[in-house]
Amino acid sequence: MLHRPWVLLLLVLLSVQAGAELKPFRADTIKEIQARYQGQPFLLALWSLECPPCFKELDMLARWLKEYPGQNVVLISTDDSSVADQAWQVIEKYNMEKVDGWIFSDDFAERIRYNIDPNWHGELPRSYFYFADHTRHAHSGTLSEQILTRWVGQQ
Amino acid sequence: MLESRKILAYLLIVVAPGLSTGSHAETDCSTDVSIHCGKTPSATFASDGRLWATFVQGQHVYVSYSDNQGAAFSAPVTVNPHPEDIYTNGENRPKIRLGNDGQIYLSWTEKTRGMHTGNIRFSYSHNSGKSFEQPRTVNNDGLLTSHRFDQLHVSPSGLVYLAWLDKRDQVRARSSGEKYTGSAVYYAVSTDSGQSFGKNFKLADHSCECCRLAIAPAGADGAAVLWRHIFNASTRDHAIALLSADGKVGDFNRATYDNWQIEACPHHGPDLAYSMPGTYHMAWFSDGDDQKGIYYGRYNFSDGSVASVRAIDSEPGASHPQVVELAGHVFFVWKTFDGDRTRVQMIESLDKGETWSALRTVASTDADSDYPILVKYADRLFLSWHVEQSYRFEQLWPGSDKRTKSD
Repeated sequence: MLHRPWVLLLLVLLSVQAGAELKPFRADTIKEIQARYQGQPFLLALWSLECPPCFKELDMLARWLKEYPGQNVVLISTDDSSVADQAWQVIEKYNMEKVDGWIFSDDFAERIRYNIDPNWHGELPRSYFYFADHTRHAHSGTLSEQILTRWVGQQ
Repeated sequence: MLESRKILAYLLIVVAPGLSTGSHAETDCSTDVSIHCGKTPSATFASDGRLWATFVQGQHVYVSYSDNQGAAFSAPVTVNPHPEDIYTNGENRPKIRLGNDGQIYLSWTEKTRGMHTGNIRFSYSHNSGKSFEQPRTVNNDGLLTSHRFDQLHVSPSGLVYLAWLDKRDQVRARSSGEKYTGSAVYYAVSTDSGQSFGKNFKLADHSCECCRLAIAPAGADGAAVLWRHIFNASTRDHAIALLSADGKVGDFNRATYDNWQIEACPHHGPDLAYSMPGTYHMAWFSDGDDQKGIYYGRYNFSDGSVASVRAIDSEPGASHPQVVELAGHVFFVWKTFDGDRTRVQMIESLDKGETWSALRTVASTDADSDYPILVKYADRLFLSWHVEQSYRFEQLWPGSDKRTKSD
C-alpha cells in the first residue's frame, strides 16, 4: 500500500479483465480435463460463491499450494458464468490466478454435475483425488492440509 | 414462425380477453416480463380458486394470477418499486401467502454487498394485488451479514410468521474472538396483517447455513419449523420446533438421525407437512453414514418420536422431496435425473405414511428445471414446476379417471 493510487489502478485493470480467466466448464469438459492430465495425478476441487465452507477450503488450498507448487489442481466454480467476475475476484483474493480455473457455463447444471459424478448430490465443497491411473477418491466437505499431503504420499 | 406467433397471439386475445400473459408459446423473454421468463416461480390458491403466483425477473419480484389453474396469467404487478438484487436459486425463492381477508403477503431475500450476505424483505397488498406496500427489511440488527433463506407462513388466525437463517450471532462471536458454528434460526411475527413485525426472536443457534427451512401450521396461532441443524459441531441432520407469536420457544428436538458428518453446504433443505395435531410428515435428503438418499418420516411432538422412517429413493440424482397430506392421502414427490432426463416422481400413502404406492412419473423434461413444488386446492393436488422458459402448472390428483367422477 505504498502507492495507493497505483494499487487502485491495478485493481481497476484487473477487474476490467475479470472473468476472462475462468474457462467455461460445460457438460463434457470433465473428459477434456481428464485427457489433459492423462497419466498424472490431480486434484479436482469444486466450490461456489454460495458456499461459506468453500472459502475456508480455498484459503487452505492456497497456503498448501505454496508448499506443494508442483501439484496439479483444477478448481471449478459451480456458479454460472453470469457471476464469473465475482468468482474471479475470489480466485484473486486467494492468489490462485495461476491455478487451472473453470466455471460452470451451461444452463443445465444437473447434467454437468452428473457427468462429473452421478453420485454427487451437489454438496460443496466437493473434491476428487485422481491418482496417476485416474482411479479417483471423492470427498465431500472441507479438505484439510493433512488429507492433501497424505494424497501426495500415496501418488 | 412469426406468422404462427401472430395467430397464437390473436387467438389468445380473442379467447382469453383481459389476460395479457397467456401460455408461454407467444412469450418473448428478451422483452416480456412473465412467469415463464422469470426465475424461481411458485404459486398458491386463494379460497375462491384464483391462483396467485410470484417470480423474480431482473431485479424485481412480481405477482401474477390465473383464474384457469395456470393456463394463462394476468399482467405481472411489480412488488418492489426500486430494483434490488434478489436471491433466486432452488433454496432461495420469493414466497407468496394469502391472508383470510384477501391479503397477499410476499417475502424474499435481497442480496446485499459482499459474499453470503442478505436481508429478509417483506411486502403485502391489501387491495387484491393491484399494488404492493413499500418493501421493508424484517431483520433488525443492522449488520451486513447473512439473513437469508426466508420462509413465510400465515396461521389460520391470520398471524404472519417470517423465519430465516441469520448470522448476527456469528458476527458477534467473531468480534470477540469466539468460534461460532453455522447460522442461527430467527423469526418475527406480524399481528396486524403485515403492517408491522414484532421483535426478532431467536429460535436456535447453530443451524446449517445453506439449506432452506420448512414451515407448517401448528394450531390456530402457531407454526412448526424443520431445518438442517449442526449437531455436535459437524453432524448436519434435522431439528424441529414449534414457534409461538410471543417468542416463547421451548427446546428444539432432533428430527432425523442420518449421522451426516460434513463441513459443507448440502444446499438441500427439508419439507414439512401437517398431518394431525402434533403430527407432521417430513421429507428430506441425507448423505449420512447411516442413511443416504431421499427419506420420509413422521414426527410426533407429543413424545418427540420419529415414526415410519423410510428410504424413498437412494439412487444417484434423487433430490428435493416435497410432502403433502390431502383428503386422507399423503403425497410425496421428488426429482430424479439419469444423465439425460429429469423426472418428477410421485408416491402416495393411504395410511399416514406407513405404506406407500408404487412410483409414478408425473412429469419429465430433458431441459434444465427448478425444484418441483406441490400446491393444494380444496381436495386437489397440483404440481408447480419451472422448466427452462416454461412454467408448468398441472393437476396431479385426482388423476383424469377420478376427476371425471368427482367433477
